[in-house]
Amino acid sequence: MVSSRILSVVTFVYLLSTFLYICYLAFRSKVIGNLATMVTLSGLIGQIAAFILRWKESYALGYGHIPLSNQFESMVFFALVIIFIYLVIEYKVKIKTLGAFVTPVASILLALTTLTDSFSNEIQPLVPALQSNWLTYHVITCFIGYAAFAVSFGVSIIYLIATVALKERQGILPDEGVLDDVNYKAIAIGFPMLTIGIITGAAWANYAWGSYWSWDPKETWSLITWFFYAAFLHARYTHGWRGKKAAILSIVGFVAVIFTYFGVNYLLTGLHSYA
Amino acid sequence: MKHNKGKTEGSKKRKNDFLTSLKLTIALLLLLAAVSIIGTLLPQNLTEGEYLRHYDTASYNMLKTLGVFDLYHSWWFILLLFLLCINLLACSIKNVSRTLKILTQVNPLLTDDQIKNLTLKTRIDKKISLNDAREKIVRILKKDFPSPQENSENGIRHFFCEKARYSRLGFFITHISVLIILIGGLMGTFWGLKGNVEIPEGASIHQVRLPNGLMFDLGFMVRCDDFNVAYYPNGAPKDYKSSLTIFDDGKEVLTKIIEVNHPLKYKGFAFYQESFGEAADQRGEITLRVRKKRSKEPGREFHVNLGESFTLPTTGLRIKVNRFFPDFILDENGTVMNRSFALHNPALELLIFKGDELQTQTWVFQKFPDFHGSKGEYQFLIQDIGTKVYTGLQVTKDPGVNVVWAGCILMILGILSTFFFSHQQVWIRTKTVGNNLELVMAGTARKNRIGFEKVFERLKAEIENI
Ligand code: HEM
Repeated sequence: MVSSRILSVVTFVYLLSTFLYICYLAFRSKVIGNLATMVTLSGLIGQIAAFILRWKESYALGYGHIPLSNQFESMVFFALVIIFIYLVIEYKVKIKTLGAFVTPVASILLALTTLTDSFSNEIQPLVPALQSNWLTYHVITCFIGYAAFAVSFGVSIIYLIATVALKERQGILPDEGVLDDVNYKAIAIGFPMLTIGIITGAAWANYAWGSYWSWDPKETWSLITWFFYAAFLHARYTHGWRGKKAAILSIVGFVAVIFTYFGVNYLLTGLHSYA
Repeated sequence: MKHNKGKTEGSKKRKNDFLTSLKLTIALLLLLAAVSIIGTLLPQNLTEGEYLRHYDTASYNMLKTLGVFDLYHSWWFILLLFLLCINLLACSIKNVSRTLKILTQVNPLLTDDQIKNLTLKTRIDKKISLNDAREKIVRILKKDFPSPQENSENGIRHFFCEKARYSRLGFFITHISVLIILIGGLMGTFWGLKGNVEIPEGASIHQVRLPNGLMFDLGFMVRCDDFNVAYYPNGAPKDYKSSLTIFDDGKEVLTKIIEVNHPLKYKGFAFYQESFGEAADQRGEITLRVRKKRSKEPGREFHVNLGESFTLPTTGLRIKVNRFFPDFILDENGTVMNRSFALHNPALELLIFKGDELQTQTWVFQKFPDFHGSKGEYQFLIQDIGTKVYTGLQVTKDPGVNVVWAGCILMILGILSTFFFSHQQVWIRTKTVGNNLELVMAGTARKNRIGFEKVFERLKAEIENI
C-alpha cells in the first residue's frame, strides 16, 4: 500500500527533524531552526497525505472507514496530532527548542508501528460495534487530548532539565515562565478534549451496548486520568502550584494517559481491547 | 463566655471552610483516582468460585467485606462520590453571589481604587480636545471589542469595553454539570433496569430476563419479524439486523429494523442488537423436491413444516416429516444420533404412508442427496431447511440517561467557555487639563494574560497616536 510506504518515509523525516532541532539547540542557528520547522511541516503534510490515502484505500477494498479503528491506525494518528499541536505551539510561542523533545516522540510512535510486528497495518473491515460516527468523534477528541498532554509532558521534562540540571547555563533553554505557561496551555487544551472524548465515548457505548458507563478498565482509566488533571487544575488555582510542582504533576498525568492508551490494552482486559 | 462563643463560631466557620475548601476537592479527586485504580487491577464481579481459584477463603472473605470485588458500588466509593457532591454543592452555593455579581455588575467607571488593583495600566497626555478624541477612541476600541460604552461623571469621561463576560460562568456551569451527571447516574441505578431476551424469528415475547434470573414483564409485546447477518467478502460479520414489531394493547404500534449502534426505543425501553444464534429445535419451513428414482424429470417441490405431512398427488402416498437432526451420525451400535445443534449434517426422517398404513421409513440428507440407503421408489432432495434463527437483544430502561446527557452538554459548554474564552476588560478615563487631555488606560483579562498584554500594548500605541 502506498500509504504504508509514505509512513515509513515520514518516520525518517521526523527523525531528521529531531536531529535538526538538536543541532539548533547546540548552535542556535536561525537557518537550522527554520530548516527543522520546514522538515517537520513536510513530514506532517506527508502524514496527512498518507492518512487520506489510507482512507481511500479502505474504500477501494470495499469497507471504507476513517483510519482510526485499530491500534496501528490510532498510533499513527496520535503521532500526527502530536506534531500538529507542536507546530501550532511553536508558531504561537515562537520557541523551537521544544521540537527536540517532541518530534522524537512522534518518530518513536511511528517506528513502533512499522518496525514491530505486533501491530497489523492491514486495513481491516469494521466489526459492527465500531461502525458509528460517535467512534470517530470519540477517537479524534481523545487523541487531541492525549497529544496535548504529550506536549505538556515534553515541556515539563524540559522545565525540569532547565531548572534542575542546567541552572547555571542560562539561555539554552526557554525561560521557565514561558515553559510553565505552555504547560498550562497544553493542559487547558487536553482537559476539555479528554472530557469531550469521555462523553462521546459514553454516547457511543450507549448506542452500541445499551449503557453509557460500565466501569470497563479503559473507561475507568480515562476517568482516573480525568480526576488527576482536574485535581491539577484546582491545585494550580488555589495553591498556585506552578513551575516545578506543576511539571512533576504533568509528568505523572502523562503516565496515566499512556497507561490509559497502552497499558489497559496489554495489561488489563476489557471491551476496548481492539482484538 | 465571650471567649467560648468566639470559639464555637470559629469552629463552625472552620467546618464550613472545610466543606467548601479546594483542599478537600483535590484530596477527593486524587483519592477517587487512586481507589479506581484498584478496581482495574482486581477483576470485578466474578463469581465466588472464580475468586476462590485465586484466593484462599480467608483473604477472599476479607476482600469481599472490603467491597473491592464490586468496588465502584461499594459503600466507601459511593461515600467518596457523595463527599465530592457535598463539596461541590457547598462550593457552588458559596459562589452563587459571586456568580450573580459577575452576571449583573458592570463597572464602566474607572475608579482610583480599581487602578490600584490592576496590573496593566498607563497614563497618556495628549494635546487634543475631548470632542476630537472621543470618536477616535471608540473606533480603536471597536476593533477588538463589541460596543464600547461611554459614561460621564463629575465632568470626567469614562470609556469601557469588555469581551466574553459570560465565559466567567463557565466554572460554575461545569461544577453544576458534575452534580447533574451524578444525579442522572443515580436515577439510572434506582429506576433503571437491564435485561436480555432471545426471540426466534416470527415469535413474540413480553418478558425479559434480569441479571438476577427473574423475569420482568414489559407490558407490551415484541415480535422478531426477521433477522439477517451480512458478511464482508473475507467472511467477517458486517452487520446484524433484526426487524422488530411492537404490539401494545393488541395493536401493532411500530416496526423498526435495529442493528448494532441503532437501537429501538419504546416507552422508555431500548432494545439493542446484542447477539444471535440458531434455534435448532425450532425449524422453519422445509422445502423438499420429490422425483421418481432414475427419472430425468426434475420432480416437484413441496413445502412442509416439521411434524407435518404432505401428499404426493396421483400416488395416494402421504409423506410425514417426522424428525430433524441438524448433525446426524450413527454411533458404534448403528443407532442414529444427533451430535450437535450446528448444521453439520442436516437430516430428515420421513415416514411414508399409503392410506393409514406405514409403508416405509427413511432418512434423507441435505449434503448427500444421492445416498443409496434411501428406500422406496421416490428420491427426496432437501432443497432448504428454513432454519429459524433467534435474535439476542439487550433491553434497558434508564430514566436518568437524558439527565446525564443534559449534564454532559452543560459540562462541555462550561469547560469550553472557561478554557477557550477569557473575560477581558479595558477602561479609558479622560480628563481635560488646560489644553491637554489626560488619559488613564487600564485593562484586565481573566485568562491568557500574556496574550492580553500584547493586545493592551497595541491599543496603547494606537491611543498614543490619536
Ligand atoms: C469533579 C469535580 C470538579 C470538576 C470537573 C471541576 C472543574 C473545574 C474547572 C474545569 C475549572 C476551571 C479551571 C481553570 O480555569 O483552570 C474549575 C475551577 C474551579 N473549581 Fe472546580 N471542579 C470540580 C470540583 C470542584 C469543587 C468540589 C470545588 C469546591 C471547593 C471547586 C472549586 C473551584 C474553584 C474555586 C475554581 C476557580 C473558579 C474561578 O476560576 O474563579 N471545584 N473547576
